[in-house]
Amino acid sequence: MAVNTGRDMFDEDFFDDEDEDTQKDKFLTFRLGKEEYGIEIQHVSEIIGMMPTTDVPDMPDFVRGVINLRGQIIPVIDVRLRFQMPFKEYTDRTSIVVVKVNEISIGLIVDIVLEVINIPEGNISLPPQVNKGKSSRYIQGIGKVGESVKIILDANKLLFDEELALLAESND
Amino acid sequence: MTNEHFIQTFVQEARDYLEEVEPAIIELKHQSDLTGEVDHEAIDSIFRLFHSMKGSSGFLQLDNITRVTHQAETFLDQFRKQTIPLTAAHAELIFKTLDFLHQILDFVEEHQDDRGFERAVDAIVRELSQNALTMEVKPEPSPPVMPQLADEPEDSGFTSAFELFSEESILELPEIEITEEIRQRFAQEGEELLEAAEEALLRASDSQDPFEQVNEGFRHIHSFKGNCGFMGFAALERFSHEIEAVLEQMVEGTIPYRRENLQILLELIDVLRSGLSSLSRGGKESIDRTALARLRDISTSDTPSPQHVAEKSSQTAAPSPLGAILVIGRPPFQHAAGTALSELGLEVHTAADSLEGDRQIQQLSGIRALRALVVELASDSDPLFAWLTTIQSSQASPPVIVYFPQAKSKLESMLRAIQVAQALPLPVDPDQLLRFVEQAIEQASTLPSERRDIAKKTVHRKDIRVDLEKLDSLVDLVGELVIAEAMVTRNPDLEGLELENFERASHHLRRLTASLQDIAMSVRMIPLSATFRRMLRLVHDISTKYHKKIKLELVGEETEVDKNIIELIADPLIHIIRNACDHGVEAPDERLAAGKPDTGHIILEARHVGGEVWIIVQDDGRGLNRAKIQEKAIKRGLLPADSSGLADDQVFKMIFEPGFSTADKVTDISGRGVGMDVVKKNLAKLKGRIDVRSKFGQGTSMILRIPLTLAIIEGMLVRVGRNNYTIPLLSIRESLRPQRNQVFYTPDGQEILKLRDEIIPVLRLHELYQRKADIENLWEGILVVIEDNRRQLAIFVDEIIGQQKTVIKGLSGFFGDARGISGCTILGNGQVSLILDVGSLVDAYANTELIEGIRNTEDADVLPPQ
Repeated sequence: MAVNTGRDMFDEDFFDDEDEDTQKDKFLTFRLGKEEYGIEIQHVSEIIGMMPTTDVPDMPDFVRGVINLRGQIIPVIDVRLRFQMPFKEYTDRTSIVVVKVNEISIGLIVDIVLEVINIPEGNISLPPQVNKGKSSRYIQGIGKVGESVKIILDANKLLFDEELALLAESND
Repeated sequence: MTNEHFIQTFVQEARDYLEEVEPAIIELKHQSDLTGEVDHEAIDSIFRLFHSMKGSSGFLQLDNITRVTHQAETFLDQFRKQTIPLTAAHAELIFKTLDFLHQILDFVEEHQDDRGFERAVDAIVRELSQNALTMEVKPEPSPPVMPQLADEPEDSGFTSAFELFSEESILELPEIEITEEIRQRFAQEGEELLEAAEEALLRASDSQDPFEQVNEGFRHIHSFKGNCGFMGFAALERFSHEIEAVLEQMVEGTIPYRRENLQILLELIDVLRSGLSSLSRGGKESIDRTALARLRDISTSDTPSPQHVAEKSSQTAAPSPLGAILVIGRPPFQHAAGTALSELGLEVHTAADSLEGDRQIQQLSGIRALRALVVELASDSDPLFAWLTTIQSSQASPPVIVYFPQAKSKLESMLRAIQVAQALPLPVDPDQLLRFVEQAIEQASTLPSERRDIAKKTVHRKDIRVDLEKLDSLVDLVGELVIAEAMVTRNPDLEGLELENFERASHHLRRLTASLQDIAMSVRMIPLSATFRRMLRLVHDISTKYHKKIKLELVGEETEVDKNIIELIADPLIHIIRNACDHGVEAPDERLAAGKPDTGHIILEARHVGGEVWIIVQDDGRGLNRAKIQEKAIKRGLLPADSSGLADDQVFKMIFEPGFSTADKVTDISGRGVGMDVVKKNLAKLKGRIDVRSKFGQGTSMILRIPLTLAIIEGMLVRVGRNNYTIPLLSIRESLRPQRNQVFYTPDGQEILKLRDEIIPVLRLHELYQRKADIENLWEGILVVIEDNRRQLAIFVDEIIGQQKTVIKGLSGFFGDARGISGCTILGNGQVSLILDVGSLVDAYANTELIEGIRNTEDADVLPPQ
């Protein structure tokens, strides 16, 4: 795994050390299929390896169930399925990125975690307006890093979409 | 601590106290109705609540609250001083005052200020003062035994956070622009001056010329006073002035230089020092003024000081119709017990030793009835002990209450004391007297250490407020620890190994984690009593308003439940009790006509049943009218037209539908049909259910059944396909592998298990959750028969894995509510297992109609009709 800081990202303190300021413009990148995605580092609380999940009934496909994260039970979402990409068997490289938004922790299953990179605000452009497919609304912007492009995801929308809200309500 | 912080604490505490007052007033009223008299203990405790509130609000400059509480105090005072009954009008007025205070508190909580209520305050103060009969208005009742050095009374019967900043103990001054630097320098210099003064006084006791040393101490204190004055620390200034005055008199010779006197002065200097240290830590100026009371022990003559103290107090003790009491013991005990007893209205005399005791008894014997002796015995060899035996043997001896500071336990001391107190011919309750003495004793034992220890100068609280989140994470961590413990001690790597020492150590670890878990679980638990007691007021209000006679009985109010249950249960309870009062309990004449006592009876009960808490509201009113409810429900399309076959509780459940009401007239408290659906909603949030049982004409019971959220349950772990589920053991009746001939089908395909004489519907979990199971045929798998509220359901699973104790955890809010799942738990291997919600599964799938139908057709002969 390429980690540009040379420190172990599995080390919990790694993220805690960073305060608000140093977290600015930093993104954790991961790969889904061919594309590389980024998510604001301030939302990420840790990265763990894939672990067995427990099914929760009545949930859409992309909700893989719950895991036990040191005593805390958190839901996990397969981001591939969330974006209507084909399911890919989990391997040793499959990781769960634990993000925390609005005090709720959720695990995101991704193909492989890449690195933490710096993308200055100026290098991020708005997502393309073409409304091609549902998944584009989870995109916060497109970041340019050298020659490559990272799709930056909106953690809030990814986690708390109308779909999920409806789901919660219908079960009420 | 900021001012805002003080105010928040104040509001919280004040609310707690107001809530305490309400049931007390109702109790008082009941008693007053019965006996025509007001219980003095009760009125005293209410009085003290107002008094403390007044003190704190005064300190926080919440003037409106101060005025209201002051007037309320005056109003209540008349019941303490005279024997007059508490009328309904009086009670109403107090309630009105309480409500008003609640209102102001709400405002204060938001705005940190109570301005804007002046006119409302005027109105209420006027009303209170008009009702304060012919009483002379005393601003504050001050216990007679306290000498005038400390000009405020002490609330000795009352220990709470209030005393942290009640006006008695802390004086606050307008803030002055003082830079941190100046403040620090002042504190440092003050510290040095106090140290120098202290040293001088200490040297004085060994010195040839003590006056010179005392004079030096005087000079230091004088400079200290000057500094305080310069800095604008008036409380410190005044305090040091008092010390200075005594030292001056010592130098002049009007107060003799004595070791005891010096000791007192040293103690007072310690108090100054603690005031100073709080300043240097950046706190507000504060000083324990009550400590000045110690100055009264300064002897001004050459005779032994204790005698002087006794003379002084016998002068100050006001004659009381209740009689006199003699307190004998060391000064702190004299002081504490004396204050407490004089609050009871007794005339208190004090003495330090047997000689003095004899003298006091003689002096008093001619004039007044000596009711009792309260004696502190340091040890069995205490000279007072011998003296007491002689006193006891003489005929006219008063009863003796003995306090043993050395007793191994308070209980031992109390037991001894109770024996004597029972013989006490006092018009006060002996229990009450004891309680006061006990409190006094507690104070006496904390007094000396408080003086010495700066860090301990605040009131000792037995509870602390903790952020709920911290508690939650504590509980989480402990849960995790339990699992980690299991992972280590039952690690597969250890299998087959003979590890005697390891076994012993892990056994110890297991025991420790188990008790840690128990404690962690109990931390979030709160008794229901506060919520229950609020209902007393509600019932009182409604019954007064509608001229009904209703008695509310509370049972099991000490039952502890999780904090979030308390929060969510209060509203539903209010609605249910309102309904019981308004629709349930009939008017007195109607009750009499029905052959019932004219007073309606409502029982509010809480208890643990299985893995649930049951909160039961039971009334003996007119009961639910099934026909009427059914008719209404059919009209609204909630029930099918032919509903006569439905069980009663199916019909009764209709009352929880939004907007459902059978009331002919809508009153201002109920009948609009909005209340009961709140009940249903809040209970759903708690994953609880409600059972209604009612007999027309005889009454109704509502049972709120709430699962214990933070509990450990015994669960049976079952497997269906690749999924594990946990079923609470308490709701499992049996599990079996059925014979082929035990299973049959209804026309619409529902599988039925015939178990002995019973017909039980089968639920295939994997079908419900659309998962795959390994086994398709019922007779190859296992049926787990669960039962809830006398209904049964057979759950089909592949296999039973085992039983284990599990910690219930909620599912993330992310999921909303998954069907039939009440939460989840972590297994020994770290995996998560979902817990089945037996109640909702039975509700949804144990279809009673179906069962009734089968019963009626096939097995009519075998099964008794329901």
